[in-house]
Amino acid sequence: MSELSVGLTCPACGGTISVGEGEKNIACKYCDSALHIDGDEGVMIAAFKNKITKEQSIDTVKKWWKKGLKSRDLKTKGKIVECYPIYLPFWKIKARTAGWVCGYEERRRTDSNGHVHVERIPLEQMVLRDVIYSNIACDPGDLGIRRLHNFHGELTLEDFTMLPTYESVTSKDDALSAAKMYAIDSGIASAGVPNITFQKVNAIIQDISMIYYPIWIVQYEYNDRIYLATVDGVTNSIISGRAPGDALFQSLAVTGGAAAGGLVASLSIPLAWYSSPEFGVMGFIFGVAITAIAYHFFRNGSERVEGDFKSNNKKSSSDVINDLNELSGLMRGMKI
Amino acid sequence: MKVSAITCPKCGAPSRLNGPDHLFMCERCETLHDIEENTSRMIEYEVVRPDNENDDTQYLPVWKLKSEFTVNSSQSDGFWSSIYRKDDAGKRELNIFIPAWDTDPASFRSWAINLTTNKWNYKMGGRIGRHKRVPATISKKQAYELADFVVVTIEAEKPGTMQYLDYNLKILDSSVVYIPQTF
Repeated sequence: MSELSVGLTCPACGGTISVGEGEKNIACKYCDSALHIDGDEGVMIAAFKNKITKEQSIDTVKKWWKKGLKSRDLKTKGKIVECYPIYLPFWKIKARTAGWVCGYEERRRTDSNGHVHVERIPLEQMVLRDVIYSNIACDPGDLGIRRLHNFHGELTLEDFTMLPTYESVTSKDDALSAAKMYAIDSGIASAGVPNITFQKVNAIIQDISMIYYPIWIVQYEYNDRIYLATVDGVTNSIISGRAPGDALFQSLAVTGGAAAGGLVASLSIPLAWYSSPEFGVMGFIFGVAITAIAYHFFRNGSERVEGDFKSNNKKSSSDVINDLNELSGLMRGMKI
Repeated sequence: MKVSAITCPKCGAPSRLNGPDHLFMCERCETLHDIEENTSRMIEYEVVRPDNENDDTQYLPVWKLKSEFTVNSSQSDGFWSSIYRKDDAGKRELNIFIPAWDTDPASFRSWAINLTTNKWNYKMGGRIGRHKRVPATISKKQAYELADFVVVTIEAEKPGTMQYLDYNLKILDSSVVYIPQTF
């Protein structure tokens, strides 16, 4: 694991010590003394080094423009307005889930006389697994980022103080409580017991740390509207973003979908009447569903969205951009 | 962040790191201790006497949790339910053993069940001496949290019998047992 020199010295010999992310006990490399590292309220804080340049992040966004059902002329009409890195804090909590979920599943079978028999099969499932929970520890507005997808990176201190950084606003206790709930709920779900009669599942917290993660904010303009995308400063991949959809795709979807849905629904009526009522009703529902999906795409296809955006977020995209600009403006002298 | 030197709580000698071990053994007075809330605390320990000992013998750490255990009601035919039907003595003292070294789930389960249900009988009075202590990666706090899991695992070991178990478990005290393994 890469290590971070944090300006700390060994209390026994005075040598500079290096600490890896998540390490609590280390040996001094000079005098071999065992040392205990105490993070703030027991939380280890680490920052991953930004590994990409401004040009690389812009290039990643331009490649992203060409993918999916985005507007076809985005790659020619899209214009980068601003691009800068920020650090966002994330909780990273390792937990071991251990317990038992007991219950039963019901199996139905029909005998030769047409009688349905229900058989209860007892199930006892052990849950013993390690999980990593992560959640954003600040409120940067709806950037479409809510958790970390990458937990590996080179640790740094230097970069960390040079870039605009959001402060953590969530408490350690809230993060631990959410991590325990996540570990227990996902553990119970992984047991796959349909009818639960007994459950005893514990989440044992093994490690808690806060990781400051470098993220590039890329704002771009298309047809007088501002859009935003975020790029992972470690892996150089798109984390989230909004992009204009394509009117042609929307039109094709609503036309083709309505035609296909209508055809399936109308064919199912004579099927229900003359042959199989069950298949007819299913066909009709399927036809309506196709039409509804096509309409949904038409209605929402004007903007393509990637990432963990909240559906009922109170802050609009322009509010988020204003907040980010304010933060980056405060740190403008430090921008790279 | 703060850095503090880990020292023996009994004699004050500096401790040495044993990989990712949560437990520290004082080289001067052989006191076992761990760090809890930034303070070194002494831990009682016993060492199992080995049948055969050689240069490759290693000592595995196991948390021994002295507990008070009561089954209130159950819809089960597992280990505890069968014992409590035969001898309905209410509260029962129980030593729960939690393997503390880094092991896979199947091995963890097997060791915990066999030690807790007294399937293995060890003679104490051994001494680790120059031999290797396998690092304990499960802390005392984590061992306490795993006690429930071990108790229920023992009950649910017999497949297809457990549907419900209502019990009380209170941990009274803890210590460490080192078990020799010769490879």
